[in-house]
Amino acid sequence: MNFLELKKMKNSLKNKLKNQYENQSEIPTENLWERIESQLENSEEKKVVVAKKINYWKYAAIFLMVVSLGLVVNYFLNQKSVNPEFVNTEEPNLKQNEKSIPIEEIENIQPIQINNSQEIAINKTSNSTVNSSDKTAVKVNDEKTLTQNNQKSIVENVIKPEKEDSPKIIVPNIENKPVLAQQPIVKEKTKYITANELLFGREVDKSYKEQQENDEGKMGVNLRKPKEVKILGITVYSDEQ
Amino acid sequence: MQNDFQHIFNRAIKQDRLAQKTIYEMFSGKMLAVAKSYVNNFDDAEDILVTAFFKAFTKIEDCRDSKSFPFWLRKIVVNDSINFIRKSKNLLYVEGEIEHIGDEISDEEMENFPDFDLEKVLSQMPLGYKLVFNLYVFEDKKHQEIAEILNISEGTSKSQLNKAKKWLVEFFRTQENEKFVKK
Repeated sequence: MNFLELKKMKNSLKNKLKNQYENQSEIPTENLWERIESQLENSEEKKVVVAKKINYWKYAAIFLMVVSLGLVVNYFLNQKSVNPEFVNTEEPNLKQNEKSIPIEEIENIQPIQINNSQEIAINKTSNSTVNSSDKTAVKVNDEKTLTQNNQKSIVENVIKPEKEDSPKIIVPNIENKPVLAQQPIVKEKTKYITANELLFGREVDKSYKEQQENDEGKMGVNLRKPKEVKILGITVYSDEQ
Repeated sequence: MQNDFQHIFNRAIKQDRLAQKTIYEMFSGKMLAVAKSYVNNFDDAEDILVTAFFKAFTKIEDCRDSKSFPFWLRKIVVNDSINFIRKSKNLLYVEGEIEHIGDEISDEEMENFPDFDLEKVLSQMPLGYKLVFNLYVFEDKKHQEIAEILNISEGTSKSQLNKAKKWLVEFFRTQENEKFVKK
């Protein structure tokens, strides 16, 4: 009982101390809040600056991501388009070969027509008509005189189809020529052997055969003999000759 | 009242300056007294209060809710006060395991205690005892927690508290004697 009473006393002292402590209050100086406020404002300014910086980093990161993604996609697209290129380049090759003759014809005709018109402009005498679109016919007509109307008709007949055709054919030519030129060159290089190489190879073969013929009795037999002994378990000597 | 504080607390989370000032006005008086009970100096206590409130307002999102805010704020003030003492004063606790044997102050000595002025008690109590005494009595910390906070052994914490009690008994005794002399 005495112990409990004593404990109560102790507790009461503690409680008294505590009560007094909790009821304590000090009046802070007037400018204390201003000090806290100024600190808060400074930190907020810093925060804004930091936030801006972070945003720049974010944008930079996004930009880099987009660029790198674009490069990767571009790389894969290019890889995929390699196979179709091979297929496409071969087809136009055939077309070009087929149309290669007309292109040459057209190229030949154009200067002739210009010459015709110049000559015709000077002469202006006869009214002979030329309806054929053959270059030979035009060449024949070079020496003859033509009217301006006829010139036009010829020019229209001959040039129009040429002009329509020429860009169509020439454009693929320019695009595909480098491709055509590159691919077969690579193949040719791999396929053909130069005369020197061929001769050298033959000489090597000859010398090798000669060596074999010379060494057969010595090296070959000596190497093969022990092998046969091991396999069979008995010493058997083989004469290849 | 609670709802009002909840509202203020919510606004303070959004860094509303007016709400922050309201909270400051509510707690600054008591917190200043708490800080002063550790550092024994009004100006130092105010410095601690500035940093403590600044921390509380900038990290208010770490506080769980408005109900726990007063305890959370007080914890910051106490921690800052202890850190201030550590930095400004070279506290050295001597391992006092021998003192630990006579742990409890004699019951007779604790029986009669007069009325006392707590401020006077705290201002006169030596700093070494006072930290342990404050944490044990006013912050309801256990010896193990005090040992962790002050980076001392549990035995040292106990012996320091025992010294504080002895000092308190002695303080009361001298106070009584002074009163007797005055009479």
